Amino acid sequence: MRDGRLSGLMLRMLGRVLPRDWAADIVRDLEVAHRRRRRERGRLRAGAWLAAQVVAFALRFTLAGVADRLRGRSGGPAYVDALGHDVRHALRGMARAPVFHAAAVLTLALGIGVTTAIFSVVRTVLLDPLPHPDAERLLVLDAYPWTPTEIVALLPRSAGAFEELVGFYPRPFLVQGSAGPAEVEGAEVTPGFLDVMGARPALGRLFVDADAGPGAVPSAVLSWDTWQRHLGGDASVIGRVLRVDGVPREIVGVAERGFRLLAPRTDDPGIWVPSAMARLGFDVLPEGSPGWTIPVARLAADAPLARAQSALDAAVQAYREAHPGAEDEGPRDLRWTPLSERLTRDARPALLVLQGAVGLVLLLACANVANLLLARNESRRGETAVRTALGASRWRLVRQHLTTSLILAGLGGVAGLGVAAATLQATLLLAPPDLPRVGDVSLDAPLVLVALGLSLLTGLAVGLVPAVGATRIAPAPAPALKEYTRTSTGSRRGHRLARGLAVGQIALSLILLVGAGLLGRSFVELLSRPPGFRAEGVLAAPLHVPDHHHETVSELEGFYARLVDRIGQMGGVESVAVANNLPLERGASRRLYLVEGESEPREAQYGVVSPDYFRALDIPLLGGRPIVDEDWRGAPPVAVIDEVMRREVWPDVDPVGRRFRFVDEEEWITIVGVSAAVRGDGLAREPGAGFHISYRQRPATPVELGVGRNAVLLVRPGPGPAVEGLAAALHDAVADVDPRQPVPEITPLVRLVAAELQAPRFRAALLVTFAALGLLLAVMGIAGVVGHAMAERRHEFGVRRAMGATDGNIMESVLSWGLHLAGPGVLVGLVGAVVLGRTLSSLLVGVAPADPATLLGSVVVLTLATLAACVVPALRMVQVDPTDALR
Amino acid sequence: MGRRLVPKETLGELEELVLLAVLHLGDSAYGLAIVDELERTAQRSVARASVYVLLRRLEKAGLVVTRRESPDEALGTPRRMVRVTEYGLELVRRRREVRTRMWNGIEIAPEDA
Repeated sequence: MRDGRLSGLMLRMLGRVLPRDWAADIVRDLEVAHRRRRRERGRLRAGAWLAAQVVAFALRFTLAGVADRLRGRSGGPAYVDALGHDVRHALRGMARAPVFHAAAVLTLALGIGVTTAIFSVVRTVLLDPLPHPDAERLLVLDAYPWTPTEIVALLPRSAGAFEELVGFYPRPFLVQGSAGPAEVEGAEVTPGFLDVMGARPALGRLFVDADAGPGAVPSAVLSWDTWQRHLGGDASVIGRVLRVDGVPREIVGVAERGFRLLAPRTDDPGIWVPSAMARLGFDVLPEGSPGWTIPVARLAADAPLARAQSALDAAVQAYREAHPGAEDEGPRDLRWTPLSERLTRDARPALLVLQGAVGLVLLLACANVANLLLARNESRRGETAVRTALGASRWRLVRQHLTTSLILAGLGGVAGLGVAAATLQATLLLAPPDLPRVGDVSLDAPLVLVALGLSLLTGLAVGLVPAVGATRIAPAPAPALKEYTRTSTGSRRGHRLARGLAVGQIALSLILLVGAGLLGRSFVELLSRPPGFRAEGVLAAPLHVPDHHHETVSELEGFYARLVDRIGQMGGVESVAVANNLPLERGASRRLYLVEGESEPREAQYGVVSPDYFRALDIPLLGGRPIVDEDWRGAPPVAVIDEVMRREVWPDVDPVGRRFRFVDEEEWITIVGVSAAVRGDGLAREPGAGFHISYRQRPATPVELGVGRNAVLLVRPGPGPAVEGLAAALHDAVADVDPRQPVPEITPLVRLVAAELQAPRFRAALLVTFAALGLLLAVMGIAGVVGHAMAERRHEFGVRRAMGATDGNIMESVLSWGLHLAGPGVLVGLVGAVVLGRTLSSLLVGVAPADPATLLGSVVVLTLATLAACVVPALRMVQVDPTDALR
Repeated sequence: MGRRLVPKETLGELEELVLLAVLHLGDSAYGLAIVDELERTAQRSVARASVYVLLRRLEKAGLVVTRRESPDEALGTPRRMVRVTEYGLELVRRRREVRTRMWNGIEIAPEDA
């Protein structure tokens, strides 16, 4: 609805600009095309497209009109002469008040600059189509906790919904390149996957179905970068054998330079190996076990998303019927999501909020300049009146005012490009690295057009109101002329307009302040939240053990045990542990479990850890004992539950000694201890119920449910040695235990925790900056309005002074005049702020959308700022010399 | 002599394509359809605004005439339908003759042969 109103408004505005004979037809055609686009591409893109079209049409027709006139085609009068005259007139006026006009240009440059910069990010991240063919029809299956392969296998039969159905599973590979072993991000893919994503071979070929069939020779396709970096760009590489995870694989192709895979959970993979959807590459997985593949589909042309979803629902239904017990542990919430939406899901709300915020800053800038022009026009009323009396038409006068504001806006736009470049640099520095395609953001030609289009609109918006206002006197110039000859007291209408603009500025500024306050407080809240463990000092190293190393579970466990032992014996190490995931990511592993004596399963996060885990992370133990070396395979399985799980399940009794089991397993697990809560879903969420079990007591298969091949090594150094020395020693220790194991990347755990804060910091920092900018503009605007209004009351203040008013009386009346502006502005702003708070709610942590403290704080800041803006005019009035003013 | 498009009475490429698109569409030529036709047949993505600017210019130059009517008797709002004038036809024809003359005697096999 709001969207329709906006597009209608844009089209109506365009209709005014277009030549009258064609306007209606063009507007209708655009309307039809816009509707069509909205159906095909969605509301947001269609809206952006329409906005671009409106600007393009306005520009083209204006330019064509000017060109026609220049060629004298329309036989018009000496239009160009008049235009030249207007421009000269405007420039002369600017030269007479350079500081005033420079301030106006700078203000507009700020508004246009920040808006363009943020739009450049929004365009690349949210609006640009993905670099894959028919990207708008690519869907990805969002499933929790996973998608059973049977469901995927059932899908292609539901004809008509999908054109292609492929899948991939991203993971790192150990590649034996020409410069030694190296870990390369890659993916197992179904044979058609690379084609669907638009890859083309630069050398050799991509995969064919036979590559994943039984008895196929193991093969691999490399990305251009991997080929260059690890194989020296050797052109004879096709047909050569490369050891990938220890498996000799024939290189069948190299993907074209520049091919990038934009998909969830992967970033520029460098190697692809074929996998049939049914097999999925985990040799240890028994037939029919859950697949880790992420299915990707290309929707059939003309098929609606709903058809794909109903095909999926039918497959899920069939799966449930075939697996009657699967409701509990089986897949939930299986949903096709457009790939682009899935990729930008996390970034979208924040970016839209930022775009809205800079829009407000631009509005503030416009209001400021409009106010400046208004004030200036007031002082030029006499001149206008003279010109009217001399026979200048109203249109001519309006045009002259507009020429000035358009020139100001044009200069503002050009300067704004500089501001945009600087803002963009700063924005990209702060941007979280997982913002999709953030590397592609740049200021290019279309964006320059956007900036200039914005300038044009700004120029019109800023100029039209004062221009029309100033020329209202045209029909009756006599009173104004009289005024001109007497004093230069402004018109009442002009004052009302100026006050209205100032009130609007206060409202906009309050909205920005509240937004910044809410996000800032969320960020501070995140900073101050205890994660449930102590990350300071701890080093974390992700371990990926290739499939062919330590093939059985007991060998894998042995490897981890030797590694922990070896590192534990090193000097300077206080404690060391392995775990299946990082503490803040524990929420990614969750299972249903059944408490002894209950019939309804519950869900909890779990960590699979080695004995010293609690010590290494300094997680306080609240009761019982931790996991110890004696909790071997063969010994009764034990668990340490956390405080949240205790509160949930055993609120009133000591849980130690109680038992539970995974719903799909027989063996009971005995609780031996209770630990403090850990924020397993990240800092932004409240800690969920969870427990930790010993890595040596997990069922043998599937291995991924134990510590698995992707684990993390956690080392807490003792007091003393420098971290650098320890990192090198850790590398040596890993190589000692297994020289084939790729060297892990060692990162301080605090840095991984800090990474959690990057996105909130980005949002908060930008919004606070924009709010500060907005406040500055508002203060400038208020100061201008108050100053102007007070200057006109000089005479009155002189009289009051003469009658015995004190400095305090004068100050008070100026400040209260200012506060009268703030009152209505604050009221309107509060309404806007509450609406904004609601839109922000998904980004808020520990702060209510209408947080009273933030609202109150913002009102106080704004009121103080308003008072500050009044101080200079007030002081000036205090200094008014009564004899001087009354003369 | 207000009928001149450019002094030499020749057509630019986009002008030619637009006139041909109008001829292709026959009785159902109007702005939106012309843009679609250009994209479909000429496989050219053109800025929508340029096409409308051009149509208006062609109209002023007397190469096309426009009239409000309904494209479809059954449904459809009245649209500004575009038709090529005799003068427009003459220019298109002349352009084609020049091309034919230029191509005479040149043997280039089509791309996919």
